[in-house]
Amino acid sequence: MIVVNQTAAPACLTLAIAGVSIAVDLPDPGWGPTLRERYAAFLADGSAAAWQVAVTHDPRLEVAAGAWMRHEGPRTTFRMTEFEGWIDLAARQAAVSIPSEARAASALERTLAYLLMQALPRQHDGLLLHATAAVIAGRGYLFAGPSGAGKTTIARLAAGHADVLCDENIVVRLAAAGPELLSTPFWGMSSPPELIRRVAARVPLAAIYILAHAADFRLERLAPAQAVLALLTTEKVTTERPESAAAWLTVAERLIAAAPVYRLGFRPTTELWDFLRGEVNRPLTPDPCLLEPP
Amino acid sequence: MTQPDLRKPVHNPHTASRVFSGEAVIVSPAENMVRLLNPVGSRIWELADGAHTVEEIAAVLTEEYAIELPMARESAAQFLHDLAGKELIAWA
Repeated sequence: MIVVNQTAAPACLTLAIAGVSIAVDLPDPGWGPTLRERYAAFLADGSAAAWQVAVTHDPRLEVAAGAWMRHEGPRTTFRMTEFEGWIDLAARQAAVSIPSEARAASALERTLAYLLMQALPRQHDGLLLHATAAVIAGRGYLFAGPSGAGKTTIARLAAGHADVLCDENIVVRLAAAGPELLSTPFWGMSSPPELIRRVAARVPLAAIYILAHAADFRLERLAPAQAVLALLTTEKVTTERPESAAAWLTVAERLIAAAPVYRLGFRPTTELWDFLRGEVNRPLTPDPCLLEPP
Repeated sequence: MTQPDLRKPVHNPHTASRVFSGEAVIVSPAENMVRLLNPVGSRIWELADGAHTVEEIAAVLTEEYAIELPMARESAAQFLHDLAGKELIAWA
């Protein structure tokens, strides 16, 4: 989970997201209440935040400009359409300039998501994946895929069947007891408001599904390299720098050794949950060789 | 008789890769591309460590895949040439 601390100063939030504490300094105390409400489940004690993010107000950025990103050593400098800033992975600091309070949440979320994508594999044995996660009977199921693959559809179908951690960004972390899923407050910017519930939660990971639209339900277990490739192709940011890509691959290798990865063909009906329960509960077929006497 | 190719291929340091159950996944940030190699290509990729010559890599392929040395030489050289063309390897 992300932790934001609101106690250090009136214009400071400290967020705890997936165990990474991030102190966010705001340019105006007036920006605080809306953000505190939005991230209420992720607010934390900011006394020892791992990351410092300084937000500044720059009305000139209202004029949209072309996006670009530049990497120099541990530092990434970026300009998005309506905000700009930098992230320093070594110093664990970032800054973002935002044209107005109305743009604060989207700019902050994109900056923090980028920060976590780069920092988690390098420093926290984790990955921020472009994915939806659903919790059934206390176990977490990750549904990954690029835009349009069906992540928000899965979240919509979950009502009454599963609890959704987030429909867009989920952290997978390698813990001593096994891989676990952690929610983030970074839901899709176009997600239906009625779906959004920003909750801080952590559950053991049961399985990973790579989403594919299909005429009917089908499940195919992926070989390790195919699984890694499928996860990588949902995520471009990590592949921008060799150091981050190497760290990502190291974490991914351990992840796929600990959790099964399937390609899930599905059609958008709630029969999905019955199908998955049936697959999960299906007894394993013994290898015929094992049935023969020694 | 063909002269042994004593050049030593080495991974471009601006790539990241890992071999999963005999299949190499290569991330190339400069191209913003991810590649998956077949098992033979993955073995060549593993051996392109800056220590093995093309000739030595061909010899390994001969042993492990039961192919004749001339064909192994040609396959290894062609594959490494392609990887060099994509700037995934350099010559040590």
